[in-house]
Amino acid sequence: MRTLLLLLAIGILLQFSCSTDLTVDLPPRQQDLAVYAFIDAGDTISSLFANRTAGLKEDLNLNQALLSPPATVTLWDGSDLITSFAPEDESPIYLGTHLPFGTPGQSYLMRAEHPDFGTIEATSTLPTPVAILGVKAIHDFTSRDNELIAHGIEVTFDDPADVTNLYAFSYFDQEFNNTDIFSVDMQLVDIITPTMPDVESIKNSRNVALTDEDFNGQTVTLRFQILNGNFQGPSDQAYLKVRYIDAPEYFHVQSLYSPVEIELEPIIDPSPTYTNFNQGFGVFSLSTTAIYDVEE
Amino acid sequence: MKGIFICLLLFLATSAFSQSTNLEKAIDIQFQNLTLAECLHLLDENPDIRLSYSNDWLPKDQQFTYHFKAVPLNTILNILFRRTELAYAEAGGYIVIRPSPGEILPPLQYTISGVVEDAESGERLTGVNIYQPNTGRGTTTNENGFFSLSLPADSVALIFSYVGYTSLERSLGLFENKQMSIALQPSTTLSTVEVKANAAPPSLAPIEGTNQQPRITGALIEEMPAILGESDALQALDLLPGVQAGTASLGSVNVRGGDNGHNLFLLDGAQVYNPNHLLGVYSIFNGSAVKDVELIKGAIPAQYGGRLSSVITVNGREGNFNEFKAEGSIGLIAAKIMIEGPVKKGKSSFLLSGRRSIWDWLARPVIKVAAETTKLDIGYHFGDLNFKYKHKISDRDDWSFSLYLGEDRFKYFEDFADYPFDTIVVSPDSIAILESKDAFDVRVGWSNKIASLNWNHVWNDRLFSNTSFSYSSYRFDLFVESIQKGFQDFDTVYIDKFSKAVYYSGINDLSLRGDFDWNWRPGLRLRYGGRLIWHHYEPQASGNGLLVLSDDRIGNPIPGGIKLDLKPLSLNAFESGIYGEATVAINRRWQLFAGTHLAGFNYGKYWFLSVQPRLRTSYQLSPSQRFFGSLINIQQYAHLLTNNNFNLPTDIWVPANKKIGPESSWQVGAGWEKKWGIKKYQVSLEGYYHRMDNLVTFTPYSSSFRENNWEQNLVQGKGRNYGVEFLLRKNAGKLTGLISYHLSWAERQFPGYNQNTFFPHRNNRRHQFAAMANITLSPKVKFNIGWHYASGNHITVSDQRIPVAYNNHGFWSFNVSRDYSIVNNAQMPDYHRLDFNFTFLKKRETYERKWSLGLFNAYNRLNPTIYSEYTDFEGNRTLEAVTIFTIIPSVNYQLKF
Repeated sequence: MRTLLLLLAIGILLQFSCSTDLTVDLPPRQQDLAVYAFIDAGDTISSLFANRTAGLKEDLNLNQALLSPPATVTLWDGSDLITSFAPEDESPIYLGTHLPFGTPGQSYLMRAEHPDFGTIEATSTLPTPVAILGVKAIHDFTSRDNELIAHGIEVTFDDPADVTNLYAFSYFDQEFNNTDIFSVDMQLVDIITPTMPDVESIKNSRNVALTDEDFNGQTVTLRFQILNGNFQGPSDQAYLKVRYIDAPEYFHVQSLYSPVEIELEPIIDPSPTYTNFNQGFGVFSLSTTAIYDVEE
Repeated sequence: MKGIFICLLLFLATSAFSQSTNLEKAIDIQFQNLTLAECLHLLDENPDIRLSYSNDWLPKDQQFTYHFKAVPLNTILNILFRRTELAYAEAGGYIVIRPSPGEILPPLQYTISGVVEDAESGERLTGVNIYQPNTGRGTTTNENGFFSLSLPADSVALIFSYVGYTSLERSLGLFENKQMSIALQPSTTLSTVEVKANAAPPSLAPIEGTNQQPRITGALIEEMPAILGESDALQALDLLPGVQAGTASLGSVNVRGGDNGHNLFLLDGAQVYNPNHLLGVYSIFNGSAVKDVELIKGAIPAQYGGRLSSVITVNGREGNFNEFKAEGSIGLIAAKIMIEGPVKKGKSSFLLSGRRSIWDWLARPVIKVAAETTKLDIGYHFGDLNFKYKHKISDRDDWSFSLYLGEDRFKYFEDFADYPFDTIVVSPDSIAILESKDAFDVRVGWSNKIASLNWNHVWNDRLFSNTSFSYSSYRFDLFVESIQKGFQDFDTVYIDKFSKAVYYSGINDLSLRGDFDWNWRPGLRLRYGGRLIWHHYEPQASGNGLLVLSDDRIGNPIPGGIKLDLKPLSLNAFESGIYGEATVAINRRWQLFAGTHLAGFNYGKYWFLSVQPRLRTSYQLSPSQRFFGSLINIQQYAHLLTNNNFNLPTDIWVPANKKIGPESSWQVGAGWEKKWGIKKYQVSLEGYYHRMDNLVTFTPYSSSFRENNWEQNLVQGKGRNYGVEFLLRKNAGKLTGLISYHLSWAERQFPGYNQNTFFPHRNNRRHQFAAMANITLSPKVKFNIGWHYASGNHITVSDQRIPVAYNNHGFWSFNVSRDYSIVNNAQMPDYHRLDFNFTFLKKRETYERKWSLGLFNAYNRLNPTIYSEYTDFEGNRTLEAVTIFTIIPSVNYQLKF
């Protein structure tokens, strides 16, 4: 009886799942401008990416501009034009130099215009740097989850009150290089003070971003674990790069880890890509960078 | 003038004194086609009664036929004079009858109250129609089988009718308040009951208190075609207009454009937070333990609050008060067993029912064969247990206890520890690992624990109360543990690596509720009560641990394994509400239900208070048809966070707070209803507009829950839903069934979505049609057939690609992202399917056997359940639909003792 039931059940199960091509009618969609501008206020040369979206079957070479003529991308301080970014040949990379950013807390507007795709705008506020009280290396410690960790670093700072700060930390174990691709992989494992449940952090490539929404206005000690298995302790040239970022960059990084594609998550609804431009796509976000030596 | 005044006082004083003597004296008298003068003459012949009147004042066009036995004289006079302009009073030993121009004696009213039960099992019946043809008045029994109806003193005939039971007519002389217990006999061997509200008499009566909402009985649920033969209560609701199942008829219940979290599920009065088994293929409501299911949409009475779209009440069976019964059944997905019987005959009963899926049991031999080289244990099962005990203390009191325990469990355990391994060569250093042992343990489950204690009390003929204390708990949990021994990590060769991850979320409720039903006086009925609910939300608790032992520490045991110190996000909230609703018969045609629900909600330091008006009305055009309308406001203080259309067990409940305020809705509806024919046809047409505010969803670029500052990645928006519902039902005869149609629009507006404009909701299905017929082919064979059609639900499909770039001090990284910014921009193909089911019954003296053979999706329509988006090597995008429920035969065998 049991075998018969099983055979019957298997036969039925084989009938169950069935895949077919799905054809849907989509309303026609006009392409949009896409501008990605992550600009550090301390850089002498600032670059941004300006292009347009592409149809589903259209060739899309990311090093090739799809806009012809190029878009006009400008940076504004209120009604004052600061600069106009210019493209490099036919590249979608646009450059601007020696941008005169003012004091932290000041907002700027970026505008991109194109005769075929209209005008899109986004604003960003220059973040406020904070006072880092100490950065030191630690060894053989146990995390909150009882994880035995060989090496890590600990950073303590005063988070300013009444202002939202967002941080991106990256650790370097060699001579100074501003780009995170040379950093050592690490992750946030604990917040020592203030005592609180796990804090949300986003690991993007090799840096770790987090907001101060859980510890606004307090003295904070964060503990990071170095993930490189070969790591035997910091060198003499070790340093911590702290980037003070604006919310759009944080949200952009956060959105990279949402289930954006239904190819990955067929049951979960797909999430749109984050944008802070009022029309079209893209992110305009300002940041400032500070470097701190790691004490042994 | 002064003299007249003194006489009048004397007259009234004497009258008042004498009323307690002669007028209240009970007498026996019989009238047979007599005029009023003849009746009074007959009364006057009684030596104890002295009447004073003039024949000139008495109308001659009325005749009376009554048999009064021990009826007070004033009652008899009220009946005789009620259509005249005569008054009476007692003075000087006489009962003086005099003309009173312009004054008609108010008719004496008496109340009939009682309960209606199943004659065989003794179970109380909910929604039984009680109707008096002469006056056109009627009512229905409440969820505890109690009714109360006030009628003019007279000889009355009451008709008790309930689909699936033989109608009963009871005649009585209503000359005092009366209590009665009515037992209705089940009408046929096979259950024929479909939609309980259909049971109304052929003509529409101005029914006091009824909300005219469809009610689906356990009998119908058992007979409908079902996936793999396992009947389901919530799938039956899909037949009704305005109710949409989730994608491919799975998971969620969407009522009038609302979301799944906008339905209040009540099991014996206790709230249910996740009513699904097997990711929504089945509900937790076991058909053999369910008495009936009532869906209230639109005109939600003041009694209910807390959910924007609907109330779905599931009443469990009470068990048989008279004899022991048992039944068992087995289908392709689950086996069920149920026993019921009296604890004390006629006084108390119990019912115990269990159900468990059998797939893991069936699949075990296959897994054993597959797991040649490992210890492998894979399994999934769902199961539930229903228990109910009811005790009738007296005619006025009864109490009951009901318990539900249910769970879904999935496990995957694999252990390679006892098996030899091949040598693994790891490049580039060519270090050989000679031995490696892994173990992997995954357990996922979700469960409901629900209990309620109910006390029903009849205070008097007109006042009934129900008090209940209930507990409800829902929890989802996940456990993953892996052990890797002999693991290579870069140049360190032998490492033992242990990892563990735990996650759970849930909600617990404790609730105290009191409901009063007061038939205050004819034409005025009051319902009032209150509730106190303590909510304990645990939206998310997660932790993971990693323990790596290398070099000299390898092989050392880990005392107690990895200990995770979870600090769950724990949110406590307190909800309270009081309500009152008056049912007013403004005249014989027009009835008004006016009430309000006052609610309070406290979470942390935040308080929310609301006044939620509820207004319903009914206007009788003729004895068989009426107009009805409603205007209601509801506030919802708990948000269901979801990022799918399947009502997954991972969906999270969170309380309203200052940042994410309560959801609210206004709904207006109006319609027309007509009943006709001895076959009890009923047709209704209703339109509605449903506006919702402060709806909650995730921010566009973040679709998961965060433990810290969880409100930050949520946004609030609006919804608007409107449509027309049509329903045609046939409720009696060899063929019963219904046809329903729903034309609807459902839209949402959220900041950051679709450029902040209104966009189609996932269930914005323009057309929805259902037809179902139950045909009794013979006393032993029954055939059920149903066809469902719905416009495809809306899905989000990318329609362009976005070049995404990120630069870090001049170093660029690029990506191509699909654009999903226009949400719900495409539609699935139309959904339709045909189901049928044959039921073969064999009844013997000691047992009853039933075979059910059916076909689900008979013509194998490939209705998409989920969809994926693939890109081939040439960059072409392909959408692929996955159909889970193709044509599925079902078989079910049931035995009853």
